[in-house]
Amino acid sequence: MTEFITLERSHSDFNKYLLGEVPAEYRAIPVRSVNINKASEKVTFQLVSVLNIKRPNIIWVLAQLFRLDLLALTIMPGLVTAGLMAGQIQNWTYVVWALVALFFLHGAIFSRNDFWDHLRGVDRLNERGGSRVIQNGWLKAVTVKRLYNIMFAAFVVVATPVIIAQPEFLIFSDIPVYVYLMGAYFAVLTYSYVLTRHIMSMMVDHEAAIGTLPVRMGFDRAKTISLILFGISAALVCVYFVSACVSSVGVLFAAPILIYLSWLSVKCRAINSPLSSNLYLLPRKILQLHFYSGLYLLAVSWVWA
Amino acid sequence: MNIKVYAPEDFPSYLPKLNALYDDLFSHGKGFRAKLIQQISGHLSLKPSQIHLLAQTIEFIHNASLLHDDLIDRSHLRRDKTAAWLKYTPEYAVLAGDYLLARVMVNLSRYGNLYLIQYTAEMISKLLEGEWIQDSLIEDWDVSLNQLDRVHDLKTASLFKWCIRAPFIAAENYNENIHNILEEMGSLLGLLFQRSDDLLDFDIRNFEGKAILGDLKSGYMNSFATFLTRDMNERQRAKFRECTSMNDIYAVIGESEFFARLEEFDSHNNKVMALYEHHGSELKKYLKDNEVGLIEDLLHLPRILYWRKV
Repeated sequence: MTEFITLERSHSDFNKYLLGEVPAEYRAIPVRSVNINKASEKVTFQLVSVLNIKRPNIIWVLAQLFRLDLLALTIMPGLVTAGLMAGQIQNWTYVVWALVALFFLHGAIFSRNDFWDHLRGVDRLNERGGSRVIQNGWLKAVTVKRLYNIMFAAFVVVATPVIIAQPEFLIFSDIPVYVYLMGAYFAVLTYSYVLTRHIMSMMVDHEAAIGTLPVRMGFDRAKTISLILFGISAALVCVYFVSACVSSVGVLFAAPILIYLSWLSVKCRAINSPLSSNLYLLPRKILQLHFYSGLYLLAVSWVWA
Repeated sequence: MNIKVYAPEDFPSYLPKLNALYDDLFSHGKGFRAKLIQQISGHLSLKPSQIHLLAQTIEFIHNASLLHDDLIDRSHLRRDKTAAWLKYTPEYAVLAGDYLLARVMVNLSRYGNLYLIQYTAEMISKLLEGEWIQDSLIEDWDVSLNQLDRVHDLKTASLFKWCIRAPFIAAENYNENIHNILEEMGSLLGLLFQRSDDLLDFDIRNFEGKAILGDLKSGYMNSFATFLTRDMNERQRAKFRECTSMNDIYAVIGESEFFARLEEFDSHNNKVMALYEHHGSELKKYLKDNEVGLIEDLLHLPRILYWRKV
């Protein structure tokens, strides 16, 4: 078999190569893509023997695919809510099952994203997009699709009895205001993570005509919006602590988070372009803030309890 | 046939110092891009006037970018001579660069091929985008190879893509398949050329005896520097940044490790050349019988550009 093969979208084998449905001893790794998402799309695949692919341990590969590094974005708000509502929870088993269901949903969403972004060409154009498990030849696209189906099925199996048994998960009543504030804080922080990733990929998105916010508003405005989001996060966390403590002294508890947000803002201001390495540092730091502030909020709520 | 892309008659004589500035600029250039145009055009049966127009266009654009680059970077030398902004004035250097681009527009619009004008305008835009983004990476010591490749695709590869596509446009061959393949090949050529140029900075295959570590001293991590330092800790990177000679580099990395990394870098680029050859074989399907000889000329280019072997 020749090392490279270039196929047009209209070619009968195009989808097979894209899905990885080639002889089992090879991986068809897309190395160059032209006219992505158009009828005239052409992809050059490199056919690599699986023996020559240095695949990490399968557990590590699955951890990459399911983006366990981002699990805090999904689980932490749930964990903190459980911590804040601890006194009202009658059956902790359902809380645990709900968190397990969130884990499966998280994995399902990210593996689905990887699959469709590979097919649409977004992750073929953006060398930092997705988990890279398909582009590195570690898993075939068709395998990723199957794993998505398994994770989603697991989510449905685990979540359904929980929802049936504890319908108050879906009914938002008797929840203190500060819990909503905490939720809003995590939502804003998560959006700032997403926005930062979109700023990182804006050159590629512009080329692929994907109208993300940074592409539509421009680099400078997108950066300003990031700073505004950090400011909103700071305000939310202050109001959260004041509300939770029922006293303005509560704002002192926000100090560690405010210091971290200030540091993030300084780093954000120093970003010169969509290719700046400071920009590449920022998403990781936002994730760390998301995780550590979640632990901090939990710890503080237990101390108060 | 040697192409003389610049003649004093091409510019008005009433502009003081302009011809002297261009004499300095064009006299020591290798004119590689003009030769590439000539080589490609020979297979497409273009007229000498067309070949001259294309060669002059690319050399004017390339040299305009050099005039502006030297001012932006505050480089004192260009082709072993005092840089134009220093010898004349920064204002003249800027205007001389702008004037070359204006003459390109005049010449192409007189020629009248709208596709060529459009493609040339797009190429100049890409070139400037690359320059703009690259300027933002000065003293960005953590830049990755992928980030640099994106800059080089805009800044360096745009010109190579133009060199191999423009002759086809001038010959009024607008076959989309041919142009897509040439676009890919140009992209890879630009990458290889830039990486080879970055190796010169570390005195690798530096047959012309260019000054070394110029990029590092200017606060710019080129592709090989990024490759060398990717696994270093912060302390080692700080020492690397302070290097002013190859002995300093060897002291930080270790001489044997340096050459092991070089071998790895070359191996990466050999894979790029293999991909380039694949595109060359794809191109054959779309060329006429009398044009197929072009493939052999195209396939020699990586060897010339990366290994610097003529």
